[in-house]
Amino acid sequence: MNAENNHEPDLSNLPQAEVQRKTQISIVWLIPIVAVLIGGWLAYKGLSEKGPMVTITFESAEGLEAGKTQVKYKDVQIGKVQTIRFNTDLSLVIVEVELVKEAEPYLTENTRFWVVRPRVTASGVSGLGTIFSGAYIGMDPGKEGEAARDFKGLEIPPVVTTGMPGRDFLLRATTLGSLDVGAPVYYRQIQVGQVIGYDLEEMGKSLKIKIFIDAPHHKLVKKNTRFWNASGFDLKLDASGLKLNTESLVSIMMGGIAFDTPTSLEASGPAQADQIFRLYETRESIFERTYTEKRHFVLRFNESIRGLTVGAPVEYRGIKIGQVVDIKAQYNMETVSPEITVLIETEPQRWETIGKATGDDKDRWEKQIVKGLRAQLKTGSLLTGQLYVDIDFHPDAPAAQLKLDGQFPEFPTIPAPLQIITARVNELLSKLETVPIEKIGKDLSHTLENVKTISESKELLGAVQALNETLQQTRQLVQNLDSNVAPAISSTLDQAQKTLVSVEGTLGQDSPLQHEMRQAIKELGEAARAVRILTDYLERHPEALIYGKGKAK
Amino acid sequence: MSCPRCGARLHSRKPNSIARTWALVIAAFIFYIPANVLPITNVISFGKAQADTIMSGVIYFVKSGSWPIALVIFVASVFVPLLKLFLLSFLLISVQRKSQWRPKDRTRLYRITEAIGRWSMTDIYVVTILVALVRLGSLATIEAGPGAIFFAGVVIITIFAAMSFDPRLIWDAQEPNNER
Repeated sequence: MNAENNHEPDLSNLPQAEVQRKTQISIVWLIPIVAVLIGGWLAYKGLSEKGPMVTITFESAEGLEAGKTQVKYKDVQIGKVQTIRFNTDLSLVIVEVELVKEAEPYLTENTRFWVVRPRVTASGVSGLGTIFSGAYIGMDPGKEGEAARDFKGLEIPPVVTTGMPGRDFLLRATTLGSLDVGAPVYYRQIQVGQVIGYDLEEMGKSLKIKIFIDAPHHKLVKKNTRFWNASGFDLKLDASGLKLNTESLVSIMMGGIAFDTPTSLEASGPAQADQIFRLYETRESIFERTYTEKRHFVLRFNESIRGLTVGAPVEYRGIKIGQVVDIKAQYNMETVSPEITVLIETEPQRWETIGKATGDDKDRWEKQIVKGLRAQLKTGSLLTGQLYVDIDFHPDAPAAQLKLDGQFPEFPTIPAPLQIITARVNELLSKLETVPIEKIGKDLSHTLENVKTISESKELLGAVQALNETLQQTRQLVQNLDSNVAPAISSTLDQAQKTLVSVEGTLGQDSPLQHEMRQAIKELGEAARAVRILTDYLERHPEALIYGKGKAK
Repeated sequence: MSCPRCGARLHSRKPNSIARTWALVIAAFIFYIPANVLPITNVISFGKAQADTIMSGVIYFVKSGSWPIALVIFVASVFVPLLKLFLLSFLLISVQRKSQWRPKDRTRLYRITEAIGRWSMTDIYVVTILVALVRLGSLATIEAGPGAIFFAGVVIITIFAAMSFDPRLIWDAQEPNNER
């Protein structure tokens, strides 16, 4: 509405224009001022809230998107991935992340980052939300430690995050079994923790399992605490019946670890900070102590070893000192005989040594073998027939010694006691079988009957009485002889002595009788010779009897 | 001078035209920065939030091969507001310098500015329609970002700026005797 456009005919009544000079600045300028304020505030906010940039390296950037993937802590966004690039040798992915300013004090060397993706494990499903939202980077702030900006991302999400009360422990195992990250840890069948990681040790000979035990249960782990693999279930059939042992249904599916502190002579006390526990295979095995030093021996048996298994104990007077490691049937081509070789290992550390050692180990073994130390198979259980190797002193055993020619020293053995007895009893029985016990018995009883009839007969009684009388008479006779005959005999003997003296005189060496006797014998000898000559002649010339001597010539 | 009926103050020309227009143009320039830097839409699809600025939307369409759509968005949302602001600035400067340069063309430029200004609002319309239409719960949701507010601010302020500019000022310079 401009004044120029007013063309009213009557102009007299027009009010006089009041020209107002504008001195103030137009209110319109408020608009750009407000705009500047808003813009300035936005700029300030943007700059002041700009958080630290960190780089995280991952094996792969699966699910990560530059400018989109978020960094979350407790599911609250605290940052965003800005760029994703490779490192120089293309082996790793470097993710640059901008975090909110509040996160700055928690970016220390202990801070951990990992990619949260959907994970389905037996212990549960996690990261389901990321199926729709896409993966995000999880963060576990590290309160202590030096500030850091470059991080190595974890490939497996940590089970335990900072701030959870409790403690982690290291276990050493030979096999992982069915354990996995997140597998439960039980104490008296209550879950008190879980497996948070595992890794092969150097050389790959064993592996380390890291577990986390929640407070306050971590105080239950002592120096001598034993951990064992509670994976699956333990089915046992023995004399006492069927026994099924398991920790929980979850542990059947995904395994688990249980621990307990057995009452033993070992030192107790809180677990050391860097202590590495051994993970035992079964609950039973925790009661065995571990011995690193082993000494192997070969045993050769000539008897049946049925009932002896690998793992059977080797005992010394009832104390286990080792076990059977291997059993083999061998055929000795030199002696052409089959042999059963049993390899045992003994654990010298089972022995507590007292006093100072003299000589080396071999010497000591040999000395003991000389004293009669022998290995022997013994029956551990009559029910199952399980055998074990018993080592004991048998001073009357045949002499033997440690054979050192093979791979392992050969320890002398003696046959099992049961076998000795069996052998002897068998022998005895076979001998007994040849004896005609029945016949002997019959004869004996017959004889006894006869004796009985004789002893009970009246004739015998009479005979005994007669004998009695005879004996009395005999005694009377002897008395008579003693009183009457004895003096007569004495004088007779005197006479005889005199006679003998005279005979001696007659027959003496120089006596004439002797001389004449010699002469006579000589004459007789000559006569006998003449007769022989005659007979010889006659034999050759029998006609001489008729024709006389010499005619035949 | 005021209207005898309503008492409104009467002006021979648009009052304070140059200063007002300048103020609005400057405000529009300032708002133009956050309007382009801040996200104009937040698309939440399958739990995945994606914030898009005007330019990122244009780049997205270019990348996906939808050249015409990219062109429309670029022209309506980036080119036109900026063109308007620069045209207004040019007109203001030329008026203040009492330029004699082709007043007819400059007036035509002003008419164009006035005419195309409202078309910049298409972007805002698209955003508002999308926000209203795409409400599929967790499947997909679109929210207007803070950039949309600033962008709307830019468009509205430029419309006002164009309105507050008095094109007669262009012709004043042609008549040296006539003081406004």
